[in-house]
Amino acid sequence: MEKKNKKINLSYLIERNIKNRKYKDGITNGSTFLFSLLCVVILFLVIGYVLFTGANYLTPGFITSNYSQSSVALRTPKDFVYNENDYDFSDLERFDDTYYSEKWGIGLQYGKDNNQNQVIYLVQMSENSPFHELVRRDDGTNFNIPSDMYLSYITVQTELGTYKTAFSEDGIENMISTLDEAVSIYDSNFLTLGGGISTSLITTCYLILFTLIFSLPLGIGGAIYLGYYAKDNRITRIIRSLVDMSSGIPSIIFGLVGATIFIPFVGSMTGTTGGNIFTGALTMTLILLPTIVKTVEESIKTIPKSMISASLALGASNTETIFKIVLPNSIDGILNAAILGIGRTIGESAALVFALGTFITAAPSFTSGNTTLAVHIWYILAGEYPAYEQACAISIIIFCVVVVLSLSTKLINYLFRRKRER
Amino acid sequence: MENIVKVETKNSRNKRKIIVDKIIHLLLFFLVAICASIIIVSVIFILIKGIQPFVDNYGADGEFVNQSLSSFFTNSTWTYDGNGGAMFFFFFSIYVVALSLIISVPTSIFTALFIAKISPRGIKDVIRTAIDLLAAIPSVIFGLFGKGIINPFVYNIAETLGIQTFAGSSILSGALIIAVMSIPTMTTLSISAINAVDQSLINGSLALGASTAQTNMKIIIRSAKSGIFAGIILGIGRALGEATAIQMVIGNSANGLNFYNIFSPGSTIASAMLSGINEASGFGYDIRFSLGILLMAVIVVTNLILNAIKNYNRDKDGPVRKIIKKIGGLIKNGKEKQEN
Repeated sequence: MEKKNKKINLSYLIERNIKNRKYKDGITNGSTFLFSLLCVVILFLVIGYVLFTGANYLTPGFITSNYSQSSVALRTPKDFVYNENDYDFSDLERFDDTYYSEKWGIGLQYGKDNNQNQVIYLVQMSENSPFHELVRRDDGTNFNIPSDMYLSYITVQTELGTYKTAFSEDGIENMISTLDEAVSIYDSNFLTLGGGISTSLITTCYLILFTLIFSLPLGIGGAIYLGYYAKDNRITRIIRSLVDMSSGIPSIIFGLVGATIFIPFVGSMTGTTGGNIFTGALTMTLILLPTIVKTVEESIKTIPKSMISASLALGASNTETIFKIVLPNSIDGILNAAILGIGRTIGESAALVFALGTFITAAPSFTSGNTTLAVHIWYILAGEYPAYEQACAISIIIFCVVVVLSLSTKLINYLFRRKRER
Repeated sequence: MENIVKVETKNSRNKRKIIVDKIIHLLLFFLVAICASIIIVSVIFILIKGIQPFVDNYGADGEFVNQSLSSFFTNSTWTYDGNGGAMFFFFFSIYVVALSLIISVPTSIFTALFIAKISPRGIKDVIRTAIDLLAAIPSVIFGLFGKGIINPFVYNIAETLGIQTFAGSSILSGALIIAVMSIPTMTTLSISAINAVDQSLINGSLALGASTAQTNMKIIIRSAKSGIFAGIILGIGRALGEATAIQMVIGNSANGLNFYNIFSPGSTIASAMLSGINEASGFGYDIRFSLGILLMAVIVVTNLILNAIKNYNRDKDGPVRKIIKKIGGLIKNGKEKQEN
């Protein structure tokens, strides 16, 4: 009897154990899933925040306009007299979405500035419109109103001799009715959009170009030496560990290096003071070199030894082997290195704050301080009133570039792996 | 006659080839020497520039003002009058990274386990791509995210707890953003460590009757320990050097050292180097290079310590064992002396 009882207890225990184990296993597996889900959620939070906040602000005007806003104040000449019979506006083509002032022969249209506020653009002007006679208020010279300027406000003199002002915010109807009462225009203020990123965008492109020009030859040369020539001796090992070590240095330290070495160096060559595109590109070169050397060397190492031996056995010199066998076969590594370099250059901020500067200028320049898109984000968030929407709009651009780059890396790897397997 | 001429031209061509070869060889060696010397030149120049604030004269009107070395290493309040102490930044650099590890280490280990061993193929690719994308996002966008989402989130938490914050800019926000940024590095290295675990170990565990989940937790993670640790070390190194994102969320205070209030603003070494750079000049600019030296020293020392801990179990005669043995011996000697 006793024996039987024990047996039942044992099997019952085992069963309970297995049941318990199932629960425990479920919990551990579930928790690993939850943690990986957390990573995906974080990514979606980042992307979602950037997209929802910035998407409305990413307009063509935002990309093409300058950060600084320039304005011009215009008036009719002092001897101007409005005479209704002088003007014939029959040449004006009429559109549905445009409002027309019949008295002055101009067409006005709603637009949006970079803060998504409603503004009014002067889109059409008749050949005979008195607006062609407008002169600058400060020096009295004639001024052609460019199409990228919007009308901020207009102050007119009425027939009674009083002044009346119509603002852009109050709508086009108000402005046209004010214009209809006018006999001369006392002050009309035209503004460019402002708050845009055109300079930073162009500077970023230049910076990428020069960084690649400086870093790719150096990096590829170093990689060929390490992958093709270098024997496994002490010097090679020292070189390898030095290159490895410099990949672990944070970029802000390289920014300091750029500020101490390259700014005086480029300054003594070209006479510039402070950071410019060249100092920025040289600093980025320092940051990228270890990565480029590693990536290209990896792909050189995958070239079959037999190919190199065959080339040498056929009488080709080392140089010929490098240029005809090694380089063409490591093209995927070189492309990957270039893509990595572009990605790092677009996203780098800490080093460039030191080596390039944070000045958002009116036009891209090779001799004075400029800024890239990433530093632009940092700059507009650093102030007392951070401009989140604009920062997010720039982030969308950076993010798109980064995604395209990482996808193209995957594509390159896929294509070349298939080619190798064949 | 003709034959001899031919041989001669061939020889001269060969000679030219050999000379070109040598030139190219030398040129390539020169290039690789440049790549390798970057780190040496960088360190030398930063050292020269970073020592300046301690020796140069920055005072106006003949008054000698420079950074005092003793207060740089002992004072826990940062000022720009020469008596500031970088220990404030040093402490918070370590503290923020340590806080971030609480989140990032479990997340990255479990995510790596899920990707490498548990998940079905479709989900695996999705999470892998998500991690790759997270790694590719520049730090300034993480800073923007931190300022726009994490800071208000921390502010709300502090509000419900009844703690005052500086609009959410706090050590906690810094730790959260650092955790998010170091997850991709740690996960990627952990995945390769887990994939490298010997299959026979796993089979042995399964054959002994352990379930797959038990094998995952008790065999795989334990055998991949050193690889995972290497990933964590790399992540910590990156986290210590991170400047932009932290500078944007941490609040950049210069005094008020404390352990307990993670809702108070702080400043790490790297973020201190970056904050207020636009207005800095003279002493305020040069002292950043001294902070740079400190940052490099912190990163190198942390790496050395962590690597020594990593190798502690592996080599019996490693440096850490020796030190511990020595300390143990000293204590023993002391006890014996006391007893005597």
